[in-house]
Amino acid sequence: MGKDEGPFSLTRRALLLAGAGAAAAPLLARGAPATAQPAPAPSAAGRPPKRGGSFSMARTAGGRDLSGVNLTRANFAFIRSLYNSLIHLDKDLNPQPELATAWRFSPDGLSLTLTLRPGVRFHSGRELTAEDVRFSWEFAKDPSPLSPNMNRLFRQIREVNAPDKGTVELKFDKPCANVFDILDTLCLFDRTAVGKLNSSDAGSGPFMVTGFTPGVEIRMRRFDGYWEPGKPYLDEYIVKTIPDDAALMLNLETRALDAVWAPALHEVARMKGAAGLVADPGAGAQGMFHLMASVTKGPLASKKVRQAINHAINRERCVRTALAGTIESTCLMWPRGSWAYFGELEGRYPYDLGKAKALLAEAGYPGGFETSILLSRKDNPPQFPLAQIIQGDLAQIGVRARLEDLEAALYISRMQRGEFELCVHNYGRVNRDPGTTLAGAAPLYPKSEKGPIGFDSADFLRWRDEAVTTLDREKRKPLYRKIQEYFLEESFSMPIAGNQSFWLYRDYTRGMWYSRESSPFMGDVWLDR
Amino acid sequence: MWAYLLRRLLQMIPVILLSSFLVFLLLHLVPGDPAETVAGPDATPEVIQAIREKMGLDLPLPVQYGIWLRNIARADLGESYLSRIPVVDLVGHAFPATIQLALAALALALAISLPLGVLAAVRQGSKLDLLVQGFTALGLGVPNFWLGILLILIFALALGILPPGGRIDPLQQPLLGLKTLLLPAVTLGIHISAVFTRFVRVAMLEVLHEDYVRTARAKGLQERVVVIRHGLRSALVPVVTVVGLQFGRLLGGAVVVESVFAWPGVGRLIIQAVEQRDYTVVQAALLWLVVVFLLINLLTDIAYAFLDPRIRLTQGRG
Repeated sequence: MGKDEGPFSLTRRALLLAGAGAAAAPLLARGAPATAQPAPAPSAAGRPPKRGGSFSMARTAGGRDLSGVNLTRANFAFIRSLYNSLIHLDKDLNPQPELATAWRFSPDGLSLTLTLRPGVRFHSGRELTAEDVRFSWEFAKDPSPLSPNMNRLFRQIREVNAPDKGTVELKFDKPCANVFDILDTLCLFDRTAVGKLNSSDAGSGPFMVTGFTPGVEIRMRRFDGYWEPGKPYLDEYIVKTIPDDAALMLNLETRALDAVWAPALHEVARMKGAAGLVADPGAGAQGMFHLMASVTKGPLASKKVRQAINHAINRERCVRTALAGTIESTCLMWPRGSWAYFGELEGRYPYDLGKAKALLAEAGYPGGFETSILLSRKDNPPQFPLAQIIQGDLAQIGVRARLEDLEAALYISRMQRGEFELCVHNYGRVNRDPGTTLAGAAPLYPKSEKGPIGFDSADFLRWRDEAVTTLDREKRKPLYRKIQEYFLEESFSMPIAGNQSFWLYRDYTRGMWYSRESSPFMGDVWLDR
Repeated sequence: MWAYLLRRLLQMIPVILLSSFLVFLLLHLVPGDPAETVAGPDATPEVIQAIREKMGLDLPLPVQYGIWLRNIARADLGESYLSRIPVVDLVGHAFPATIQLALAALALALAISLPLGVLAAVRQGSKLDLLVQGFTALGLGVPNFWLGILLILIFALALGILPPGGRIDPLQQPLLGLKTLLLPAVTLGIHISAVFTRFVRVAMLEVLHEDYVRTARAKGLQERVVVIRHGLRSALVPVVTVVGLQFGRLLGGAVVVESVFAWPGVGRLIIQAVEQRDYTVVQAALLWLVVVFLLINLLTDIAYAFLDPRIRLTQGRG
């Protein structure tokens, strides 16, 4: 139900021009034509959007700052309301203009020049210039409490130059196939306001902060100087934190809220079809639940043991019970819908206890063995029922697994240090370029890059690095297929199902559409009541 | 009296210092690294180390403790590791919400428990006494979160007359503020009133059998005067102790009720900070609670002297 096209769709002429360029040079195919114009916001049944009103939503995880590059679940609720990026991606991962209106790769693919939209102002009133883009990249690539994640992604850009106030030049050491993921993720900061990110925002988005209490509430009002004429439609956007799942839903049902994000999946299943409410999967599966196996610990060092475990997991039951049937199961790294999804490999690990026992016997463990499963229901609630189901599944082949359900801080610490045998985990960005998935998921790094699983493969590194520096998608696909086949064969990462965060909102809400992280573009939202 | 007060205030200083040390030490002994928590599960070791250095967590523990103590002496409680917001702002925002909820719950609890406890004691063994004892058993046995959700279901969802959660500052919007306060205060207050009712009943039963109460009756005083002026006043001494302890507990935050009602109090703040290993917030909030608890103890002691003239605050008398 999400809006994938948004207001920034390419015109037909632009698409034809881009297609012609694509035949000659893959690089130029992704350059934006000069005539891209934002399209008007969609209306309901031909009615123009209504202006005004306050929209309040809540989620259980509380945001701790207003940073646009602190890419945590809690901050996704408001990032795209406070900040803009140079481009945003549509559902096919094609870049659409936002604060950049045109872009052009150099013939060797080692630089990308973007033209900035003129007249864009920050909430402080300052005009956005190329220097702010350069500053934002510097801020994002250096790890700090306000920019703690995805630094590696931003460092794929070697240099950002600002030859004039309306032009930005990116330089790379090697061609960067996922550059548009980087630009979609990079929120642009007002470099003079970034020191106040603990109380105010530094953005140019359709809303600006009027009140912020960490872990409690963020109040935003419309930014009257927003660069898109006529927008936003709403007067106010409020993001609240309600830590208790039951209380969260009661607030929605009593109409104290207009929407909730990422409610418990059983609540989504309960509320689907409820009168007056819409259950929206947002940007679809953003993450992937998987069972990690340390390749250095006891019986799990054996590939056959890991393959046995892979066969023993009843993925259908996991989805039906732990994920309330809200998504499909899979044994593959990327979900259906990703161009790195190879559906013909889906049946590689059917639920087959006989096969699992045979593999265990071949590995020298006919009677099974003892092990443990690390998880944290506080960090990600579905991990607990998933772990319970896996525990039961493994018991049927003689593998006796003890559950270690830790609080989030301890779980993260032990997981990152590789202090686990089996671990239920969720890696993100599976709905982005596959190169971004692998760059952003440190648990999937090899041992040479201090990954926790402990696997090492020169082939994997070669395929991964070649794929992310090759711009032609048709040449990249076979490389990701090799990676997928390698992961399937080694079975140290056993995907189970995608992790998607639903939006539940009242049916008078119009214009909801999302970033790849299901962060809504609230500038287009209006209330049809 | 003033000398007593001054002595008690001075005695608080070593207690606060020792508490600061214990709080700091225990927090840092708890497994879990704030830098890892901030960096998140997808961070590389290099990123975690860089964040650790930026947060000053790579310094030796004694140095970190010394820096913290020095800052406290300058009335600087530091910044949250995660949000970089001054801790004094975070606690300053949460504390009024907690005080408000604590006072409301206490007031409600006393309004229920004093009359019920007295009546149950005066009519010991009657149907009323049995009803009161049933109420206290229920009040103690029902979990807070269950009661809170039930009240939301009835008053917010079914009847639609009260909001389901959140807090409006009553100083800014009195009526709406009171409406948001009602359900969480009732949820907390019912449990506390059960505790208080039992204490009041037991204390009154003891007092009502005392000789001076028999004498008061023999003098022909009205039963109401005997019970309230002679009985209740003496019975309140142990009750004040319980009220003080309970008030101190409430000021630590009622985490469950705050979560259910999205009440932005100290309890939620501390729990979130502990979960995220936000040491500066936890240290400052706990130290603040130590100070508040010590002050409540002092007020309780003063209240004793007011209630019972036989109790003298100075040493060597009474």
